Amino acid sequence: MTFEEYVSSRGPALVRLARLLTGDEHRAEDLTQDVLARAYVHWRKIARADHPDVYVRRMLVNANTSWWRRRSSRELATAEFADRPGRGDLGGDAADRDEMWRLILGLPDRQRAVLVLRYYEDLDDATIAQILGCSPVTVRTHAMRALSQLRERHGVPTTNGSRP
Amino acid sequence: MTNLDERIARVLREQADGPVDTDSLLTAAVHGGRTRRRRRRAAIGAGLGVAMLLGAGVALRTPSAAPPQPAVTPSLVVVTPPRAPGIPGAAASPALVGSDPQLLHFGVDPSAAKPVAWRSAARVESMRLDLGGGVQALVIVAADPRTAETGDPSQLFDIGPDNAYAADSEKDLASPGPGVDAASRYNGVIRQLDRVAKGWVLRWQPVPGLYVRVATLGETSADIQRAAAALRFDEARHCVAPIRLTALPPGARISACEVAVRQLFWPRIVNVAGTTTPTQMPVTDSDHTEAALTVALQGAATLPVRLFYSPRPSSPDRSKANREIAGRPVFDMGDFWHVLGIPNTLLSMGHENRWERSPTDAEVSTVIGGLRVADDLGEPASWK
Repeated sequence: MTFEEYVSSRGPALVRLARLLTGDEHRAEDLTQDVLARAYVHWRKIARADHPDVYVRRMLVNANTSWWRRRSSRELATAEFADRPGRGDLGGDAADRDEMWRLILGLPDRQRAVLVLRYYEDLDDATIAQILGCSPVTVRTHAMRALSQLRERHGVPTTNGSRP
Repeated sequence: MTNLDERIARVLREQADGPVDTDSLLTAAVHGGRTRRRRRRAAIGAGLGVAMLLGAGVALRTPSAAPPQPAVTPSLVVVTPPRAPGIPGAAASPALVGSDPQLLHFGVDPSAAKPVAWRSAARVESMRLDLGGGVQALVIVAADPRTAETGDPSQLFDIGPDNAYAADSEKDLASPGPGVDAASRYNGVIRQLDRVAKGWVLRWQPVPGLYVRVATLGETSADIQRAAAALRFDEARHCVAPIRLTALPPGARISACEVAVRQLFWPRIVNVAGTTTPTQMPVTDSDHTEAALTVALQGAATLPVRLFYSPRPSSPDRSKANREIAGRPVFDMGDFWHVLGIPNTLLSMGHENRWERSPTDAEVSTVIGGLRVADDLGEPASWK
């Protein structure tokens, strides 16, 4: 597969993944462009890998983590979205979803990445572990902590369990 | 899945959803990659040069810099979506907007502006206009103000609510917040875009119930008035594209049509050390043509068919077909299919939304069997 074919087929999915990892559309686009530019340089090697998509998604998650760390050292991580006005008519269900998204954005980056890869990308723990460069046990630990925070802060009863 | 699992999955889908400008992404990625490669080679060359100066005494061949990229010559041929006789425009009935993805319920005075991109999808229609002299305008039309603000994510990258949340009342706040009547903002007042240097936005209702949002860049707001005056809401036009789907699987329909015949890049917001800085960048032409027809399949699945054409020769090491579908050579990736054999063109279709089911082989075969590509992709007049 050529680089152009890869971007043509998987580029949109990468940008969507980046939107969830960054919580910012512009940042998502910049991040994806940056990662793909790096992938372009090493494309022959990446294309020969068993799972080029896993490789590139790993680059994306790692690049976001690096950016997040840089940003965290300069400003409060929650300052931006806490002060933003809502997206408009946020009654009932919409307000509930908006609150859930804010909570997901407030999770530590590895926990958020696990939720995104599990619930959006629908990947199993072994593949998530490959992407994050950790063990499946660590993936489950991140997921458990993230879900526990969401239950606690979103008022979901603890009996309403999720995938561990 | 538990209730919490479902809520998380739903929120993530909503936040991730929205079209992606693959053309810009590919162009930026290739440009960035080439720049990185040049720097790498230059660094290696410099390192080797130092080694030679130090008397390494080895015959070296310094890697040359990558050849300069050919200048992009914008296509001078501009197609205007052809009129759809007998179909009323949005002014006659605002509810028509976004009701048929193969139609646009508004048009443009060709002597005042040239459409370079257009899109028709559920409840929203949009265009990018070339006003001449490197000035472009974005136009979003909908039958309700919320959709006009949020219904076209590809345009919202540039002028959407995420670009407008300053507390400064002089600046544009696209999202008025809870309790504020969004329709009241469509009052014909020109505002300055927040976070986009020298950007302007105008909202108005040409007729009650029709919400139009236009944005331009410039020292003054003169261009936005020019763009607004060029729009015609008493006519309808076909969403003409260089691809046609003459056969669809049972129960399927085309849900969106999107074409860019000459992308005019909008200035980008640049992040510096994690902060966002308004940045003015030149408007640059590109000669790519990009089109996408989205097929909504039975059972909440979609099959976007995307075409990317560039008159420049494409990479020679293109993948070989691994099967044939409906007489066309295809590279089958399992849930993504590249239709090969069309010069200078990437034509792909496939599974993009992971929460949806993957299209079946029969569905893909039907769509590829009915696929018609314009004879000359570089000649938009031949698409009609």
